[in-house]
Amino acid sequence: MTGAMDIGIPQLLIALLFIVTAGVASLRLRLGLERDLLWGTLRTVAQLVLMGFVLIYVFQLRQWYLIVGLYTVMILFAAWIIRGRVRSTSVSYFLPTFMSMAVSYLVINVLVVAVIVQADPWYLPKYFIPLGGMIIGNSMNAIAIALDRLFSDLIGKRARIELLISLGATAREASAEVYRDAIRAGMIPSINAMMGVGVVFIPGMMTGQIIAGSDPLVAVKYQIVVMLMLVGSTALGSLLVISLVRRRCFSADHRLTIRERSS
Amino acid sequence: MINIVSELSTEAVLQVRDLTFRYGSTPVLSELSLDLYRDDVLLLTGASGAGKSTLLRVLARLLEPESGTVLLNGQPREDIDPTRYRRRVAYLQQQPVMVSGSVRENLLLSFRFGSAEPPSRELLGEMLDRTALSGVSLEQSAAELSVGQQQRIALLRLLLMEPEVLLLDEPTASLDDEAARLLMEAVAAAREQADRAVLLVSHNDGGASDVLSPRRAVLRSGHVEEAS
Repeated sequence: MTGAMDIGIPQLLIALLFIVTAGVASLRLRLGLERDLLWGTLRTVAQLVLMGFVLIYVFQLRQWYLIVGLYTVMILFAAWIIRGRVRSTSVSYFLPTFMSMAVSYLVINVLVVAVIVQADPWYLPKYFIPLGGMIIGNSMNAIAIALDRLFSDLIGKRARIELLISLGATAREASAEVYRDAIRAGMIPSINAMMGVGVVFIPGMMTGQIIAGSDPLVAVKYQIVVMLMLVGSTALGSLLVISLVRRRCFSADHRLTIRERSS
Repeated sequence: MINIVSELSTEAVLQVRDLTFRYGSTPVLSELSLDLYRDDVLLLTGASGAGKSTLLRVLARLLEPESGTVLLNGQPREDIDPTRYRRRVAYLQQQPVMVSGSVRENLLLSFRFGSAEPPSRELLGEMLDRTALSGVSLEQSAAELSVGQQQRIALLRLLLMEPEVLLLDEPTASLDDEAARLLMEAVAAAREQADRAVLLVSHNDGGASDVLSPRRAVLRSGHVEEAS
């Protein structure tokens, strides 16, 4: 078999029945989700169709800077999305978040595509963009969780942190526990995913490869690399982001300066 | 005559001049000046929201003033390493904050951040005895103590840094009369022991008069005024 069986338009429309079912449930139970379901369905179809056309074009590219540029734009969007998921404070974190994500994700993606998969050239878009997208999608959630935890704890544990500062602690010493808890909170979901993979669920990438006709054992090897890559990118991304953003929550003389911003 | 501000004096441990602080656009402290001397206790009262706690937090370098100077033994505080300054000008929070762990771990908290040798168990035990905490074991959980006992542990924790100035932020606000008296006696002993300067803010007397015989002043409209 070479590639997955195509799905016809009528068959695709049948899949809409799933949404209709959810919509009817929402109406009957007064969940108020009809509008979101409709909007979500339209966005899913439009974004994926658009993505399909973009990928057809992108997979033909042979200039490394265009591929890396596109990857950077994807990371920029991810950093933008994180802004909406983290509680609003007086600390601006967009730039350090974007920079940390760009550096860590680029390093890990190049390592996976060039050294582990051994694609030639190292930026081969068929591998670089989808694998990079998986890194961004998964680590984005981790970074949002870690940042939200960092801000919540710095604000919620102000009395304790200021006690330690009053006792001669530096900002780094006074926030050591909060720092560790934030990074841990970001990493736990990807570690949990390693525990359940292959037992509780078959991951999307492996499913896709098997449907597309790959040998399941090859698909397994790719999936192992992906799982480990996701833990690595989550750890490295969270570590960099939290380290940089924590510094912005304190002044040079170790005062805790972060404030909750009332919306 | 109560001397809130003298000519620049070398005797003053802490000299505060023209201190101004705002929360956003709301002025809280307005060109405030005061002096604190060795072996001196100043009781600063004022209505709720007058800025008493803000003043202490500014002096403890937990808030940055908009303008003004603070001199510690004649030295501008900007010239002093902030972690060293905070050890010399110690700040007691209104509500005692205990970290999880034993009484001993709480007492020795500041030694995690410096190079000083922690005191022996015997010395810690004597400190507890002198502060009416003889029934408290060094190894018991600090969370089990009453608020009054925790506040005295918090005071002892500061004294182990051997500060020159004690800033006390309504320390008796949540204590009953007996616990307030015991805390004030511990403050009096701490003052006598090393000629420390004490700045105590409270919305009322806070049980200080009987034990400490303090100078008195009132914080009003962002200024320190002599008490009438």
